[in-house]
Amino acid sequence: MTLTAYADGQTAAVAFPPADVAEPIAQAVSAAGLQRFHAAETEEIRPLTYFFNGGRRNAVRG
Amino acid sequence: MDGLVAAYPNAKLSASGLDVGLPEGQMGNSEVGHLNLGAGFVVMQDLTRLNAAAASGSFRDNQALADAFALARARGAAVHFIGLLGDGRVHATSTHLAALLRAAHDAGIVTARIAAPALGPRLHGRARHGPKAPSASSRRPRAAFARAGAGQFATIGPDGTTGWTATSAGTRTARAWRAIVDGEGTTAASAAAAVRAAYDAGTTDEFIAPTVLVDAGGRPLARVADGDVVVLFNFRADRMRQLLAARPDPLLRQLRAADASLTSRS
Repeated sequence: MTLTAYADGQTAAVAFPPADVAEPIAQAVSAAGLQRFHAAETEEIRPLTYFFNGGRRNAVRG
Repeated sequence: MDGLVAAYPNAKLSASGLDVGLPEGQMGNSEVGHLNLGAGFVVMQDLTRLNAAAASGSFRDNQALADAFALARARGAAVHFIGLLGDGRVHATSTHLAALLRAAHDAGIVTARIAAPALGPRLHGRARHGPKAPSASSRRPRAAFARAGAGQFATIGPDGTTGWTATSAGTRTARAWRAIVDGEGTTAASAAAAVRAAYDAGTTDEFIAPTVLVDAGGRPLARVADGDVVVLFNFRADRMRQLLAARPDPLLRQLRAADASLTSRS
């Protein structure tokens, strides 16, 4: 087992899984039926998608 | 910019340290900042969360650890803690190891072994300690083991920051595992003796050969046996990921076999 999660899909148990952001703001806005517009320079695409969405890869409806 | 500030509501955001879930005084970064902005609350980062858990004693209440220790007890098996030893807080900290050992002791674990394949300068801060610092960094876990009455160094060296990632990683990883899993390699009577011998030979922390600690009869203090429980205690993933990677290496297969029953429970 491992202290933190080391890799996506690892089979060994994890003592302290990553902190879960249950409902990032993009999801909340989308769920309320409102539209969002994210603007960022190219280098910051990943921070404004993956990280801004609480570490999720799948985008919610914009 | 001045026009915007004058015309519209505005505020300053603090983006470092505890305000974004990092340890106090630690510089922020783009990933951490955006994670916090999108979440709408302070997202505690791994090191901060683990430091807090270690300080409050909640390693003891951790379900995954409790399951692992219960399994080891039920089997009468040893628990092996493997990770980098040092206080550099880049990959691992001895505070977490000490907390793990206390938790293991409280859970009734009597055989705890530590493999510390890492004593590198990056872990200690070159300026403060120089490239020969393990005796200082091993003091805290040693004191914790003494208090807890559990835990014993079984393997020392090499430093994971280079040992497991350099182009020769395959070879060095295999040597490290042969020492940790099979008890084969250079031997020494104690962790301190292993480090002293390396220094006497002009070897710095990063290049200490995998050293197996042995008893008076020359027998290894520990091997990783089938059914043993293995806990990798680095909080940062990149050096340890290699150990989890699936590859047809008999040593790693043995490690996974030791860990398999935990895997199936998760």
